[in-house]
Amino acid sequence: MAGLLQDQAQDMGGDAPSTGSQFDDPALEQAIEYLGQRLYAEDISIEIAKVVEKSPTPQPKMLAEIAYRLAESSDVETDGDIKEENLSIIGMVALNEVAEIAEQAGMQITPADVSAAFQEMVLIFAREQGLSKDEIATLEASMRQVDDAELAQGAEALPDDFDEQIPDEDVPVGDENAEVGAENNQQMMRV
Amino acid sequence: MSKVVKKIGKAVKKVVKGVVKGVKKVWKKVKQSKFLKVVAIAAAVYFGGAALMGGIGGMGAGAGGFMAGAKAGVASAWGGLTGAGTALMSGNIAGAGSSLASGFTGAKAAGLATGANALTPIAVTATKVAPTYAGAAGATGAGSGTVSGYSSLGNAAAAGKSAGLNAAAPGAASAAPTGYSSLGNAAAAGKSTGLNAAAPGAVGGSSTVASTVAPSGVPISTATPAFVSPTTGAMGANVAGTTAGASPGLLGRVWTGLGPYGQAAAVMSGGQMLSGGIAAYQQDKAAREALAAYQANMGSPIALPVYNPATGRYENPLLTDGGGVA
Repeated sequence: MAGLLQDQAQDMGGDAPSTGSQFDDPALEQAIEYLGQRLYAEDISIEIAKVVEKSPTPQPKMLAEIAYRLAESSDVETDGDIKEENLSIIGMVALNEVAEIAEQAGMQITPADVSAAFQEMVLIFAREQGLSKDEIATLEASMRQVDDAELAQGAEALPDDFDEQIPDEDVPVGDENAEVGAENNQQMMRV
Repeated sequence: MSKVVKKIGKAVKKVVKGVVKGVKKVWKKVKQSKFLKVVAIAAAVYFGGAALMGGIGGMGAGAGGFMAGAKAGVASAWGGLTGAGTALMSGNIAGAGSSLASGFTGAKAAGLATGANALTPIAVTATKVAPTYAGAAGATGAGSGTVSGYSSLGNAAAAGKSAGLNAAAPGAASAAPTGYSSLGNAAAAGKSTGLNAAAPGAVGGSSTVASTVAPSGVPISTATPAFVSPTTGAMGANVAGTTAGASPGLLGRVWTGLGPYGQAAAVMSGGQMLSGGIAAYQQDKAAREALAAYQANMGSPIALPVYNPATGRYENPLLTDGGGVA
């Protein structure tokens, strides 16, 4: 069951997958290593394959649930120290691995199904953050307007060096003062 | 404190903010994986970062593209959601309400404002109305007149008489507005107009009305609400008697609501799910192996085993004891 992490482990000639220090976030790197360890050292990848091989038709929700829980457990393993702005990365890595495992296990999965699965992961995330049903319904309705097949087709057409065109900026949301307040509030709740 | 609490408490806003940078980092690995490009772009789009990426290399540009009507909508939805999340956590409830309202309004508007469904926002501003009062100038002079009749139900009260639910105390005999309707029906003498007609001005003065009406025709209140529901974001009177600042915030509501067992389950649910799937797989595999062995031994066709929920076994309907395989 070779996904991105397994390939890396093989390339490096080692057993434990490692991504090196490329994310400038030791906790994220630790989480990715843990994810790889669970999948390939503890053979969870085989267990996932056993589950999904019985479903030749794509199951984006199931893939999303597995990937989300894997990412979540990896975050927990690092004591939650992954920077919030990097949490999406562990989600992306987890889904990528799960999708590859599913495909190799016989599930007829397409890139569009993977896009749909990520959409489901976003909804799980929104629910677990305590957003209301109305808020989630609005978010879901907005996401449902995206054609996953077209998204996948467009994504695959992008060049491998597309990252050079991506701005090194934050997605502009909300105001900074509220963020500081939230940080302070979390600190208080940790006491 | 539990490490999981720390994880769940992470602000939605920060997660969303970092998505584009995350995509940039992950993209360096796309050559090594079949699905990584799609995963990365899906993350950018569904977390609202597509706009920052310039429509993602031109994808979806123009009408009919995959992001038509959704790109701005998703971004707007997250803008409202994340603003609300952080505002709630910092106790800024009024801010939460307004950001929710703007976010969802923006999402809906953005979704509609493309293609054939494009809408042109309508701004309606009522004109200033100089009330005309019947009768002579009041003895108390300009500005001292009182509202002598006031009905919140919109029926003009007779001059000089207190009426309606919120009747004002009759003032001195002066040429004051004799009727005032909060529902916009012009009183006989007051002549207040508009959806949100301002209170009649002083005698001899003028009443300024400036109502802003949303495209849907629903008036937008710009006043700070007395209460904002932390769940729905609805603004209004604090009927429950709960002060807005008493909200425990997102973290408290989510985590406390789980309870100790729920918290543990949240951590373990992934493993449980996998375990359940594996158990089903093993059960099915055992049944298939038993069938194959039976066929090999007997050399004759047999019926397929049927799962019996009462016993939790796969059983052969042709056998009296079922021949169940756990």
